[in-house]
Amino acid sequence: MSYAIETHGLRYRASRTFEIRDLDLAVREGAIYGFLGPNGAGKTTTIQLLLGQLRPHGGAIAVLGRRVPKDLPEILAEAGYVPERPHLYPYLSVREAIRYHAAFYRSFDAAYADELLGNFRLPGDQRLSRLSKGEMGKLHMLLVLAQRPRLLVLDEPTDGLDPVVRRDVLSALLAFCSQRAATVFISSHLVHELERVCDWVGLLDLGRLVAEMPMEAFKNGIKRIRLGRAPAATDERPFELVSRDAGAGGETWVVRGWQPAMVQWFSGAGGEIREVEDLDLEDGFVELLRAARSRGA
Amino acid sequence: MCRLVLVLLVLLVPAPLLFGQASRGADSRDRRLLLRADSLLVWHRSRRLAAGEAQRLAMRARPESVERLDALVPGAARHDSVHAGLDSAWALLVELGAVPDAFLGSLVLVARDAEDTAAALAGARYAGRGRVVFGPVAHSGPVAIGSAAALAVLRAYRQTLDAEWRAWLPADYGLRRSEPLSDGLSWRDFSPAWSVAGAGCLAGSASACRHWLGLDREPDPYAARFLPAELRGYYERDWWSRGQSRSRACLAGSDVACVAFARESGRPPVVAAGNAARRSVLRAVREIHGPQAIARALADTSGSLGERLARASGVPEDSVVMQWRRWSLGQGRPTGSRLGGREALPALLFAGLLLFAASGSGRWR
Amino acid sequence: MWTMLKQVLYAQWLASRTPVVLLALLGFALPLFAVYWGSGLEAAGTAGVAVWMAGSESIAALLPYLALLVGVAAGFMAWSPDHAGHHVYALSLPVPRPLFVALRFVVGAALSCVPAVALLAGALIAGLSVSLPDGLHAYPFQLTVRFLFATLTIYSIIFALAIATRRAQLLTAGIIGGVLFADVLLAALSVDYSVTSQVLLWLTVWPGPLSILGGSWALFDV
Repeated sequence: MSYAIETHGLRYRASRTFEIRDLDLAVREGAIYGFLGPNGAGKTTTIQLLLGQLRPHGGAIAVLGRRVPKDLPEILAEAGYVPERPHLYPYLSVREAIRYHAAFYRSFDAAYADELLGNFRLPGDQRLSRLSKGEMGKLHMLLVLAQRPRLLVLDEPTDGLDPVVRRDVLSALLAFCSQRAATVFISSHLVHELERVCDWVGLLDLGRLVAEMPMEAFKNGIKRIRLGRAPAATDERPFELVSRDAGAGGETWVVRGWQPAMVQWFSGAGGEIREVEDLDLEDGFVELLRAARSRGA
Repeated sequence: MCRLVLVLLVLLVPAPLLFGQASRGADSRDRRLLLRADSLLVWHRSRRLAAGEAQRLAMRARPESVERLDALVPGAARHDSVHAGLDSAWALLVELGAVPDAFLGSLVLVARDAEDTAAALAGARYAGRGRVVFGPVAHSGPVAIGSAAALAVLRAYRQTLDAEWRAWLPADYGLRRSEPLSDGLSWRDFSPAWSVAGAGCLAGSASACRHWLGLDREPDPYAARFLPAELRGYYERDWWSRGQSRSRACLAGSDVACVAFARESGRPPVVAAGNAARRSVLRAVREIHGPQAIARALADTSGSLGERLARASGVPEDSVVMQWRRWSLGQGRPTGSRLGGREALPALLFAGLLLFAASGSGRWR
Repeated sequence: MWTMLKQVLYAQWLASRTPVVLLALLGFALPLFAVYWGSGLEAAGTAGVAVWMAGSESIAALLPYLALLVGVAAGFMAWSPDHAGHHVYALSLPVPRPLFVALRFVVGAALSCVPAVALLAGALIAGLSVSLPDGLHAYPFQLTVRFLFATLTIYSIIFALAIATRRAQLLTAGIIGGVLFADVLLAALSVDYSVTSQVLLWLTVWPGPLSILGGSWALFDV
């Protein structure tokens, strides 16, 4: 098993009140990894650390099998990055921006760039300062896809885009991934968007990785169980207990890694299940966060 | 600490240590010149050092020169200072080349603080010789003694020259107390704001140079050497002339009145070229035609000054002035004003150092 | 490498062409102004040479300031496109960082040569349009080379400061402020010593780094 991105004990203190601590990421090659977290969780900071734009205060980072920052130029030659905020030179036209970008990448596919220019319906002679937010988003995607990278790092690529543009961007991304075995690392706070494209998800909160699991497990494996009677205390549970709340009519558990057969365990442990409720992604996301924060407190 | 700050500290911190307390005791003139970021002072000092060295070599080469300048000094004077001073006076006079040996032998120098040595002067050794006062020498250094002695000799010699030379030669006869004979002129010396002849001389006109230097003998020098408009412009700027009732007609526009006022007032000087220019003429003739040429010219009493210089130099008058002009302008070029590797190297090194510092800037490390 | 350099140069030109062209026009015009400045003044026949020599010397006093202006403008313009984007794009390019800094430096230095070339053109035309008398010479190439070196020195300073971190910039400002404060303190203590003067002396007299700004800037001289 090889990993496109690996971090061990990554640490970075951005200010007195915020620190990324003990971050151990493992993104498999070929995966489409969704990096979830609320605003201010440290997603952008983590991405900047991965791409060498910030220097960590501790830990190790390896991207595409190479060390950061030692082999940074080689890594960046094979990694495409779409940052959160537009960063291209506004006085260039679209075609000039493409030519500028192409000059730095040996693998840049000019023909593919032209194809995407047509697909995205971008005005080639328009200055970047006069492009709309959606057009700028499409241009960023065009540039990184035309690079033919092995790793795509996208920081909130569809933030602020209208649904049509968002669909165009994500479609181009999926089409690219289907043609090449590229790894995609995409950060967002829009859970439902990641659900459609990602096969892995990592959840970041307050600088800590709260959970990391296949998307399937995230979508289907988190349940809210209402109990009439709690089972006898036992540490040997076949699932992970995320949170446990006592109420008037019994207890409410949020569990992860649930499978239907686990109902038997409750019977055997002396518990009584009243209801097993499916949680949508957003609810599951919120519950995981809540549990992580209460553990941290 | 980032590279840039380190580079700047390395460059800035040693500055006070290198220069220490140099400002204490350094005169304000030096400081002003240096602060103008002009290399003129550096050039000036190097020339002084070279001239001083030349003088010392001249004195070492002529150990017998002391005997040439007979001098009476007070018993209280330090004889080594007096000897050194008279040596340097002799070197200056030889350098100028204007004073004949016979004249030097015909006089005795008397130190100002030894004037009461009447009995010594009456002795056989000094009988019949002219007396020239110089100094004082007690408590004076050799440089002061030397230039005072040389100036006194030259002033005495000047009295033997004809009226034209006496009127034309610079007041200090080309000698300064603390510096050797000056060399050349910058272009600015040729063209003070009011002098058309000076500008013409700068432009290469031999006749303009002759007018400017006052080398021609003219019955009416003001009419010959100055334009009325030029005189008018001068009087407009000169506060004394403006205040004279006699200048009113000139200032009102009368050309005749301007020339008349010039004759009466003697303003501007009938020789427009200043001491520096006239000094440089003597220097140029000496450099180009040898010291004996000056002696010959000064001994000549016939014709205009320009003709005398021409005869003494053995070239036509126009050639003398053009040779002087070329030599003087050439001498007036400050050394090091043209950009060379010496000036460019610090700029290149500094740029390289800063590029190194920039490449190590925090976010770009 | 050549492709990268071309693209960076082209992009930088697009970003800074207006100030570069304006400074080039100024550089071209100054020597001509020196020569033609006196044409309206009263000057009898041969007095013309003194007039344009005087003009040349007056303009010579302005040229170091022009070099300063070009250097400062080029230094700031070198990094302003990246500053606007917080250097995110530049830092994400697969180029070793010292190489990218060197690319930016070379490109900025190349653009700052444009006013110098214009100055050379103006100086050559000015030199050809007057008839120099014997003993006087025109120095258009010397003047341009001095201008280039002066510009390069100032450009390097501003380039390095512009790319420095905020802390380094503050420290630099602090050092300058410290030197000035030392003078104030010494004056208050009635000590006859000026740290600022000594530092300026060291900087501006050879072999100080700013000594290139001194010397002769006259187009016409002996």
